[in-house]
Amino acid sequence: MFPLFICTIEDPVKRSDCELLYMEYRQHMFGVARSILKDDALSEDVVQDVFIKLIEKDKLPSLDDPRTKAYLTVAAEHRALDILRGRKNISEDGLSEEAAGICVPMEASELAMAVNGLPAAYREVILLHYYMGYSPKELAKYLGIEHKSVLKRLERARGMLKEIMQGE
Amino acid sequence: MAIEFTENEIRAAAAEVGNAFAAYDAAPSPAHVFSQNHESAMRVFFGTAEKVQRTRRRRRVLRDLAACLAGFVIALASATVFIPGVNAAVRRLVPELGRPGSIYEGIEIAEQLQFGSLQEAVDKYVAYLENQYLRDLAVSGNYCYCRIPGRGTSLAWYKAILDRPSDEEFFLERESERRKSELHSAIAKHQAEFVASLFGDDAWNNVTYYVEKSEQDVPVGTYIEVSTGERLTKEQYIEMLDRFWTRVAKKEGISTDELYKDGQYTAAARKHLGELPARMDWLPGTQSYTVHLLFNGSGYARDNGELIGDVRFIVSGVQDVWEISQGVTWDAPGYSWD
Repeated sequence: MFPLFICTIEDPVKRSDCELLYMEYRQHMFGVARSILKDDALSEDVVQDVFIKLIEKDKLPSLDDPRTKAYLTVAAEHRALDILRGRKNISEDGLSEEAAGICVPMEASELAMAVNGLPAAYREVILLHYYMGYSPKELAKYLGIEHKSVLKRLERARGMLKEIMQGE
Repeated sequence: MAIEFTENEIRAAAAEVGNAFAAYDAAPSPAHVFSQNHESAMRVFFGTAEKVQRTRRRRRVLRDLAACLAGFVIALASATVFIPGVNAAVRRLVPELGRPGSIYEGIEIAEQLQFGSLQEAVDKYVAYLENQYLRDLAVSGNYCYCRIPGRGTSLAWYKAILDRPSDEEFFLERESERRKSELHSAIAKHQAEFVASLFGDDAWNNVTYYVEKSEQDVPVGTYIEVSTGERLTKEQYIEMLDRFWTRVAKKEGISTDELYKDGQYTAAARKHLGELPARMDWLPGTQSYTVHLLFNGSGYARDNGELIGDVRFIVSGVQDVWEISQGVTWDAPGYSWD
């Protein structure tokens, strides 16, 4: 059984793809959201919200693309932090320090470890831009912020990476 | 010494992190079952508490407590509401149709409205479907959920609804909530239009109905003040428990979040369970009725040559407390839950 927002997709191919994505990743996304929100109902909302946003796109991420899971992880984390920000009444600017996001264990190069250690809002733009290939303009639309804010956030993220690397 | 990276170096690092994200498996709570039926049942019975939980963090514990107290009733209610058996009586009325399955085009009202009589519940719900006060319900946060199996809604239409500009009259606490309420009220509108497409543009101007006693009664909840035995409204109940648990938390020197964890009372809360000032109860003698709608005197229409219809919903209650326990539903040919 699939939720309403998937049943509303008219294109049968797209609907089928969306169903597969949903079945494959809903538990994982729920887990990501729950690790941040500690709340089952809100975490289910996160999964729903991410999928609603997803079906508004012309093209769904492919189930076969290894980046899809990373993308959905970031999307669920982003939405969960959004909700957390709303609940804690934290301003956009306060998000970076407040919300660390999920903790993904990894062994990697120093720079990658530094990226992973960035506050969630900055790690997110780095991943979406450099890994997923989002342009700043697309990022602005995705994040619901102004284009110049995206550029500023990317710049700040790069600055933070330098600070982290210099400190080591 | 200043450290500089090239874009390619950052790209490579981002790829490493991205790959780690792709390999990462977030473990959901083992107690959680990702079930829309369960969620819907929760919304039907604890809609108000859920809404409060979204807006006031410290009250979150109340819904869990209520859910714990009435868990077994929810299971019963879920079975009653969602298992097709509830419509067995309806099918017996039209056995000649031989339909392979019954779909639940269900609007489940999240914030359960209670009405003073069966008649009032029926009339207001029909008016709701006619869009007469759709907007009021949406604004009050009365979300509706439904599935549209086999009857896909136009994505363009859906997007148009979601992309509507902000409207002061639709102002809710948060943007996402506004969008949801618009979506859900739009679904009801869609359903009303769907009926019109089957039975004619004037279908909603010529609605009659007949009421049939359901085989299974869906319990209707109520709230009782323990000390007086008097009935409380949902808001009074929540306020009372909110004050109680806040007081307990203060007394124990902890936060209210520490009273209920991982689906269980903590030791600090368990000590005070016997002092609860209010409880949830189910109205004795509740009865349920299936309301079958007729449009221009007809209950069925032909859709692509096949019969479709028996538009209905279920009302449950007793004396002066009535609820829509299952939203509008109809039978469509060819649908199977599998």
